[in-house]
Amino acid sequence: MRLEKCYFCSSTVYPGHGIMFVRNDAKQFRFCRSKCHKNFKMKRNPRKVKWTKAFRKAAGKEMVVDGALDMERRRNVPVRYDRNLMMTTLTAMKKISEIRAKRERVFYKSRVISKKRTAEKTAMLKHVKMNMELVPTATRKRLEESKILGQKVQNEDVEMA
Amino acid sequence: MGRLRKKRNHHGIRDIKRKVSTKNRTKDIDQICDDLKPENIDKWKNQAFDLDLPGQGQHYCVECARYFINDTSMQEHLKSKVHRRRVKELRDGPYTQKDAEEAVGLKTDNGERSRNKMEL
Repeated sequence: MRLEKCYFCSSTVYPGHGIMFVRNDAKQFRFCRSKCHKNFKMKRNPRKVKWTKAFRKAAGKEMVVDGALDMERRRNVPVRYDRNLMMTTLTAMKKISEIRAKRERVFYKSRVISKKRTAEKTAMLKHVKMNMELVPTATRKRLEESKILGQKVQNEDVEMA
Repeated sequence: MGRLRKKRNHHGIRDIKRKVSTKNRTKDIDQICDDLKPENIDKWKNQAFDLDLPGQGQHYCVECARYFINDTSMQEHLKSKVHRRRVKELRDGPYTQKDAEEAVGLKTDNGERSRNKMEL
């Protein structure tokens, strides 16, 4: 029994799921579900379809270079059964998947949440700049001195006076 | 066994159903990339006279995998958007199962060759 990767979306195809299409040149294409199969029949390029792993990696939405990713390999050489090896492999697999999940969460945080924070901050500063009349004089002085909003604010003040 | 009624197969949408059915399959991008390789391209550029093909198989666009009835129609096609879009798509290279696996970081480990075999 082997767990294959779907040709289109790169998700794991478990036994009893999906379809395998064999082309006239004997190439096999495995699909995890009919969604991927239908997209393939429509000749869509997986690199351009937003929800596939191929697109996400190419667009930098998911981490590409990582030690934890290197651990999963397809082994074409059969290994003689050894109970100790089995036990250590199972515990290692669990640990590695935990580490990988943690690292992916960190990557997501640095990509999405920090960007969101900076976007919010710039939006807020813009809002303050536009409505400078409403800002109390003490705070306005502080803002001008610290130059958070830039030189433009001071000029506007002079014109209005 | 009786007629099996399949679901979710673009039933009732005639043009999509015909385009997508396996018996009407056209060449995939990776097959065309294979055709464009220098060792294979000569075979496609110089095809034998075949009365069944449009234009007797003499005017074939390799990128689009299409036969044309004469040279003028083929030249017109080579200037068209469809052809130019296909050429652009082919420039990126084929998408293979290997790309799908690399997207999730799955590599292949073929083991090390044992020294004994080398000695023999």
